Amino acid sequence: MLKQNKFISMIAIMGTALAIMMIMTIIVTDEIKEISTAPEINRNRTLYVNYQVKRDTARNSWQSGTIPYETLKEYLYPLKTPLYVSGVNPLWSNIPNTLITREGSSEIINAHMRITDAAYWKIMSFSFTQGRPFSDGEFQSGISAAVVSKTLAQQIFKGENALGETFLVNFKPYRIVGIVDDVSPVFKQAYGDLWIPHTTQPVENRFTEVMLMAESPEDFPAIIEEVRRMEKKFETEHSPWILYLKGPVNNKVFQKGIYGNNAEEIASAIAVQKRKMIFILLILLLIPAINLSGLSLSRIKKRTEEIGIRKAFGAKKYTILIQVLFENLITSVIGGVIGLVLSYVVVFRMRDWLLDVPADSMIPVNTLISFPVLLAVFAVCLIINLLSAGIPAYRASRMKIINSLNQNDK
Amino acid sequence: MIRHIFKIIWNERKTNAWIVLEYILVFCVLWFCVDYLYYMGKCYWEPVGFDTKNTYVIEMQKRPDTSFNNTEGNGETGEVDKLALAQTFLNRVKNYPGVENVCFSKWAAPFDRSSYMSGYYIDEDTTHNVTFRLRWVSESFFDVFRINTTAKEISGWDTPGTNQILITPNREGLFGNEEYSAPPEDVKKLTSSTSDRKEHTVIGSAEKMKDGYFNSYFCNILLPLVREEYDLREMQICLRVSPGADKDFEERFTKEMREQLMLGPYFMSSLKSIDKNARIMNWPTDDLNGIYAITAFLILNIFLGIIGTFWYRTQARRSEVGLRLALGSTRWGVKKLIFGETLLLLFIASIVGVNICINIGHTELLELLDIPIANRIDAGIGNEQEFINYALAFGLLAVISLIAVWYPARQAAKIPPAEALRDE
Repeated sequence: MLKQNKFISMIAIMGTALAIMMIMTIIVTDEIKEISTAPEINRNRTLYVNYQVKRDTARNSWQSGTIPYETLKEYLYPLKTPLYVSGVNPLWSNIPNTLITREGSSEIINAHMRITDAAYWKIMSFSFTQGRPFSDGEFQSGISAAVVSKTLAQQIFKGENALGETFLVNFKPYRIVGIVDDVSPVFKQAYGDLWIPHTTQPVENRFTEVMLMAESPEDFPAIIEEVRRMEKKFETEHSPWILYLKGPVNNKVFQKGIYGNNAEEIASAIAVQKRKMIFILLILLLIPAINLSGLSLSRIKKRTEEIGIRKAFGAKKYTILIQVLFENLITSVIGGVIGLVLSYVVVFRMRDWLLDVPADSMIPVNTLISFPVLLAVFAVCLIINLLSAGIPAYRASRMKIINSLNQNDK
Repeated sequence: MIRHIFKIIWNERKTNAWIVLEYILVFCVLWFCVDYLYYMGKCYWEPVGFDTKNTYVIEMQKRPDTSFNNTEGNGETGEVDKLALAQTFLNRVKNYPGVENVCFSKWAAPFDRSSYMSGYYIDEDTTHNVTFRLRWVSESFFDVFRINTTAKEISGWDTPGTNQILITPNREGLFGNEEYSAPPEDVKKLTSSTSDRKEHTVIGSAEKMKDGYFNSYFCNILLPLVREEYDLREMQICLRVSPGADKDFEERFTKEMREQLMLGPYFMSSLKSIDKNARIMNWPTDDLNGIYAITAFLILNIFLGIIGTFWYRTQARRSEVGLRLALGSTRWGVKKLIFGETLLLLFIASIVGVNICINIGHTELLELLDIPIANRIDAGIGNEQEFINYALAFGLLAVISLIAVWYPARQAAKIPPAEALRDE
């Protein structure tokens, strides 16, 4: 059937492939941002707080921004419900801006520095090639211990054993206690070249995005409840100032970068994002569907005679319906497979835009191919198929035999 | 001719309905894409008020060990002579080959995200407290960013006690806000609305300025940055290099000056091209790429849809076309008929589409969907935009449709009349 009219089949397949490529690109990008995989293995059971608003109710002035270390220390570390609470400085830009050098050497390396705490190593799963993470004891007493990536260790020490050695971070000496495998920049919270404790940095550098890891996602409401109680505690201790901690939001919302100055603004921003997504998917589905539907109608018109004969020999309405739909499904599935492959190409080629990572970075393969993605492809194929061939098939099955045989489509 | 085409379209109304429906949808989406792109283009090509070509910004940082034990976090160590260090810095950078001039500023560098606002009264008026954006700049700022002013003399404007300032107007060329404004050349004096009621003398005005390509022109006040404020970590340090020297400047400068610019507790952490940085920080990459992707998707779809439908149609109408050719119609005439049919379909759809778009544009629907929209008032765009949108959207679709229909039309025109007639 497909071979009968190669030109039109090609067009139909291309149309489907295009639509599925666009939709799958969106889905695969989202999937990469949300999947729980090493080193960010606990995304699904982590809540995030990355923004706070402090309001002076007496003078009606306010300050907002990322969470300062004081807030983390006073109001978030004491939380009881989460398994672990950790804060890490946000990565503002793709340009590394921490100066790394070796004592006595004039060579300077620019690196991405993450400033964090001991719980960070419990929430993330780094693979240590040598050494260990810095401990809570080292963190509490402000010992200058650092964990570095394999590449950075190689760059500083040029093949010598780096473990235990001292190097300079913005001209302050740090001792290397652990070396980890490099992390892909796809993982916004885990990515970095070196990791050091908050307590070893000046106050102006101590701004964090906070992760609250729960035993399981069922604890989320309880954690949010406890965070609200902490806000109340702040209110009583710092009157007339009041504090709002954004969210805490789950990974999905966190990745979308939704901001707001109170709970209502966040909720409405989430709703807007949802509507936007539905709208875009609708456009991406509807336009190719109308397109293909027009083609199917023309194709069915050419085949009215065949359908008439089949009906005259006793084919039921639904037999015709299913036949037309099934024939179309083959086109959709071929298009779907091509589209999926193309979407991987697109995600890979345009990763700096879609994932906001440097163009030369790697994307872990296990984030790309997963059961939900394959399921999504099939679902999208089915929807396109139903949308594009549903009406023509229905009309074909309803045609009167005598009209079909006479090729009279009125 | 048109009546004839109408008749043909009516005969094929069932398949045509699909094409028109698709045209309408695509037209509406394209309309808003064009609207946004036009607005972005207009903003981008407008002057920002600064000449940032060949300019760079140096970021200085403080060694953490010098301020570490300080709980205030402001890094005050007391012993550091900030002014002397700044002076040394200035001399060293200025002497670097290729550097034309260096300037210090606070809340003033173009495309920087920080800003400082404050309220003032204009001249003798005391009822309207107008908010302005404040920029503290050193004298050389005007040279580095090639800012022309109407002031007679800039040098010495920072003499303490004189409180001399420069002002810049908004889009309309006025100084003030919607409620109260005056032409900048008429403004003589500004009085701060904060408790100190400080008075400033206006010595001239400069071109209108905006903070980024896509921001609005906000009225600015330029104040002299006094020497007591010099602190290499806190200030914005910008420099201009001569046109010939900008090749690999960043790399060369950071490498050769790293040692020289380790001054007391300060060290140079980066040097960035302002232009390049502006393109990264001030560019709505996601929005634009999204629009490009959607536009490309729509165009490809329309292309496939038109080529497919008309290919079927010319096949189905073989005998009709054959008859036309046999009765003396030229091949060009047949092509013209098919081209006309496409354009007429598009025209019908565009009329419906334009009505939908204008009505949607007046509602809040777009905001509810977080679709990037043009800030028309800010960009000084009026109702003429609607005609431009229509022309661009229609033109684009027309070109794509004609390309798509060209192949089927050629097939139709090639039909040998005798063969087509025998089909009957």
